[in-house]
Amino acid sequence: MIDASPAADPLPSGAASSPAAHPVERKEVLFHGFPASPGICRGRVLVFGAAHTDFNEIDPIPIDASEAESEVKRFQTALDKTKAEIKALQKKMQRTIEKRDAKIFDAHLLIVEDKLLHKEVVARIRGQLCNAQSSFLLTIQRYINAISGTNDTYLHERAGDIRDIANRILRNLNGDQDIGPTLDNLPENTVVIAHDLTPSDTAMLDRRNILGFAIETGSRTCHTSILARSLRIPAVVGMRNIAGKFANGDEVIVDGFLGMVIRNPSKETLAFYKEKISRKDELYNLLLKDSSRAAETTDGYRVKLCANIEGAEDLDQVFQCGAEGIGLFRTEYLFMNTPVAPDEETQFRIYSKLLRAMHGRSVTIRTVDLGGDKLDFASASAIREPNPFLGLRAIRLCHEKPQLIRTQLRALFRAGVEGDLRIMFPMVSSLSEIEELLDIRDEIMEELRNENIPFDPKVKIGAMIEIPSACLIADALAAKVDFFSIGSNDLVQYTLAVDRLNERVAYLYRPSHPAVMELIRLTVEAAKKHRIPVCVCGEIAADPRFTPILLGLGVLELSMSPNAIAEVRGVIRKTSMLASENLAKIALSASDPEDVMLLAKEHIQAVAPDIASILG
Amino acid sequence: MDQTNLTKDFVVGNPLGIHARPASVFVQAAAEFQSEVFVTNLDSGSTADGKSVMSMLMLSAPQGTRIRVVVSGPDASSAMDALSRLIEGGFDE
Repeated sequence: MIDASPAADPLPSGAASSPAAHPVERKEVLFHGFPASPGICRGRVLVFGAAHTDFNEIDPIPIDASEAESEVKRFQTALDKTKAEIKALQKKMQRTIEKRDAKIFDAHLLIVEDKLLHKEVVARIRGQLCNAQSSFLLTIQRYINAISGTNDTYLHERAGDIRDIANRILRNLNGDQDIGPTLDNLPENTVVIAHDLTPSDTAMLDRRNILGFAIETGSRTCHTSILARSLRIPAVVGMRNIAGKFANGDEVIVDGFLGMVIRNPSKETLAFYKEKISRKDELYNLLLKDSSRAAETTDGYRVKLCANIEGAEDLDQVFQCGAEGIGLFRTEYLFMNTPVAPDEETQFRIYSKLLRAMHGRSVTIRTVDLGGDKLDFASASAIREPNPFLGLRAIRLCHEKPQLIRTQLRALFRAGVEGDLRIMFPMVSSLSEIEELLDIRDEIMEELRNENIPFDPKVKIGAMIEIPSACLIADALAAKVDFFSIGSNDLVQYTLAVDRLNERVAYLYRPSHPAVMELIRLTVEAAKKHRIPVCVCGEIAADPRFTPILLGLGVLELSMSPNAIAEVRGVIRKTSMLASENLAKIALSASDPEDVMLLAKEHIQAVAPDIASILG
Repeated sequence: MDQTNLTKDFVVGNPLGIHARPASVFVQAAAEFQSEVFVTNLDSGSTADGKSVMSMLMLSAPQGTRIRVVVSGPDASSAMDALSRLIEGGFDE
């Protein structure tokens, strides 16, 4: 997570960082955004999405007629090489549990194999006697301009795909000369600065060489931020208009604790951060040593700490941090960037593999939660709605796309025999929805029974509590399900009517708002009455400042990204339930949510000053 | 060999129109057949080669666009069947 080593030698500069275009500026400059993923790193900037190659100013480079055929051959070789590269990359991504991102490469392959593109480039080489590079660039430019000329944001993004492919082909045309790095092939010690990184961009990041990133869009709870935390790299989001202020190769520090990016840090700044990094590194390692210890308060209350994960490759981390189970396994990725939803067998294999790997520890799998901020993945039922967060998503799709949920449930029930599986349904807003889903469950069990297919009839079913209405009818819901899982991110945004992706109102997104606290209290009360467990799996579960408040509200199960577990465990081991209940009482009646956060911070400062210092 | 020419008109029904993914799906399906496939955007008049993803992308056909698919070749009718199903099914979206 934290890199304490000095930055590497200056990177070989890409085409965009020619000295003329970006005069060297040594002055330290500070940029502010929202902290999205903790950690500090120091590296060299790569501006992503900026034209690595300027596709607009291309001069045809003439060749002799006798060279034409060898240029055509060179172009063909570059295409073959690019195809092989993409296929290798696709295979690499498919090996992980997330087949999702591998699918986007199908589109990439089709572009490389496109016969019109090929024909046009060859015709240009032969007819106008231009070399392979310029013929290719002049051709691709036509396509990029046509596609990015439309007003359709979706197509704009696709123009980005074509640029990415074009850069690959160019790199291969130029032999070893590096024309423009791609996200999966970054220079060492890279910090990516971009206007936006889509979640599939983020998933594709070259994990050996990426140190951190800063983007103009996004918020702390957007999906890209969540991915950054699971990749354990520092990230800052919501930084307005920064992409143009950096050039490839700029030295930069990303402070994911404070949400700052420092360009050309001074000697003093570097020394300050070097100190900070080594202290944090030390403390984090110290906390990790406690990972086999119980998360127990000083007065003996046991808390179950679980991990939120995205794919099987995160499992090492899960074991390392001593999580007692998986509290949230997101399945959206299985449905993203794929022309058809994954079939039952595919899903069955993935879920079984996960359950086996967990050796009997509990695994909570959330049924597909597509919609809202995930809509741009244009998957199963991507429908342009004026209010996607209030629209057709998650379990609401079970009328329009009944097969989606049925196939997933069949795969889940079958996989259930491999371990301790719990299924949770997102976006529950009324009792009838749960009743309907339970009916579907019964039908599916009946089907499997009739087909003589082994399954686990005792798989537990839970409701995600993330809509205020669900909190208010928690008593009725608790009578129907086996557990509750509070999704705090959505609960906060639905309670406060704040779009968490909109930077302009992001300041109103306050998880410590007393209304949110009260809704959690109601939910816990109902769960206790019906003796079912309740877990919190949103962002606040990962924030050590919230830990005592949640304990005080009666939440004894928390699920978070694996790298947050050490700190949360540390706080629990230093806190008493008595103090926690007091904090919760204050939080329930506070007039200003910020006061609550200050109090929570003071509490941690008092009981665990070392962890308080990690919070930045 | 039997050389059939088939023409059929459609209205793009899927909400996002023919963007990269539907275009890919369409091109992959068209590539299964020997027949030539052409798609005309009846609103703008431009025509795309149904076996080229770049060409299909340039068609720029959002939801509601009227398109004409022309298939010609020995396996035209099965090609038209497959492509019709795809378009009418909203490209599986």
